[in-house]
Amino acid sequence: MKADNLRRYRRFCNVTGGLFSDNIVLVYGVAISIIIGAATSGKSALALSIAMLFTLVPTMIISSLLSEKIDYTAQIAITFLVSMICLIPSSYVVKLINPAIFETLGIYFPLVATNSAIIVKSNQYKHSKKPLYALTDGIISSIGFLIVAIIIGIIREYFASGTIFEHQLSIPIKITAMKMSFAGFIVLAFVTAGANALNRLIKTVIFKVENK
Amino acid sequence: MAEKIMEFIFIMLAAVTFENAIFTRALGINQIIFKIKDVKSVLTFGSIITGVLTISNIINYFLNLTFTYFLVPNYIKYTLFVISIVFAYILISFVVRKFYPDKYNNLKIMLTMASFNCCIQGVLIISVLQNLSLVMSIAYALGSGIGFTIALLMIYIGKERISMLNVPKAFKGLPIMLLYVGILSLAIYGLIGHQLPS
Repeated sequence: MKADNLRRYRRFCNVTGGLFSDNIVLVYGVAISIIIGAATSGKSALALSIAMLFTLVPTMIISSLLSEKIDYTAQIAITFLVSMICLIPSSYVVKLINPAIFETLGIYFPLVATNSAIIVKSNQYKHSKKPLYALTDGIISSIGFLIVAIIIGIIREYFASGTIFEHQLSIPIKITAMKMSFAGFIVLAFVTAGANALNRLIKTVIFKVENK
Repeated sequence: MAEKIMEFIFIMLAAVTFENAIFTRALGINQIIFKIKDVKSVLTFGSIITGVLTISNIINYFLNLTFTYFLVPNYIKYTLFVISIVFAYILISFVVRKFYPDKYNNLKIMLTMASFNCCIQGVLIISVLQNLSLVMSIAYALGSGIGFTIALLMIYIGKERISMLNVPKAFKGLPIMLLYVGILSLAIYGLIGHQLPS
């Protein structure tokens, strides 16, 4: 019974790993520059996540379809051109959140197309022809990115301007420096440490249940 | 002439220090740069970044000049940045494969990670936004590449020292390194007076 539970948990982790235990930001440590640079509010974090979904999923599918068919250099070049092309429609969706959002995102919006998450996740599919699996993994990884970006965006927005998704809340002191890069590094460090601690706790509980 | 040379040196120095890609804009930071194991790899990675930055900046300057004439929308400009990087990547891959075929397999992944790094596109965008001339954009690209390499060396030295300390378990690995880079970044912000030079 216990072994069944563990097996079920592991299967669950394999499918949903991108959300937490295999999160692209917290575990792989990629795509952190756009989070640090641009996830300064809930809305900008949401905008970045939409752009990530639009670029990551097609590039992963393309990588799995091109696997071992063409030269590595050409495959990488095609992947990034596809990523940039896919970023264009995402800008129209992002505009719906707030037409002035691009001023907040600044240079970081186009950087979504060349972030390291695309190489790392595409390289995972360079030897496997599983486009359907790539599609699922891409969507789950993008949701994982969304969760981290939103947490960091909300923390920084609250401390910098006393708002969450532009809704005013009470705050004794505003720390405007929270919108700067160094604060992004520090907040992300604490969020990653929290996730590590939670991950360790889950593993300890499972180990204890197994050995009872 | 002397003024131009001074301007070239000033732009380069500013890109190395006050506008350091990693510490002021968090460009190009990821887990991979925390995992570099020796000084030789740090210098190789930094040299590749500097090379790709300079070549793609030159290509992008001419592409941007041509397309600005036709008043193209922003998303075409974004695509031009990636096209410039792809050209530089293919060119450097070709040169390494042709002249150092035995080293190509070892350098392949590093070359890809260095070429398709946020730092490269970020620097291209900033060069275009600041309307830099060809010579000055080369200075900015060279300075950014050297600044990136120095930042990598600082991160590597910090990592070596931190590995000897008793760090809380939850902070081991990525979190402590992010905290370290965050504190270095805070020091640079203090130096420039809390805002990026325009």
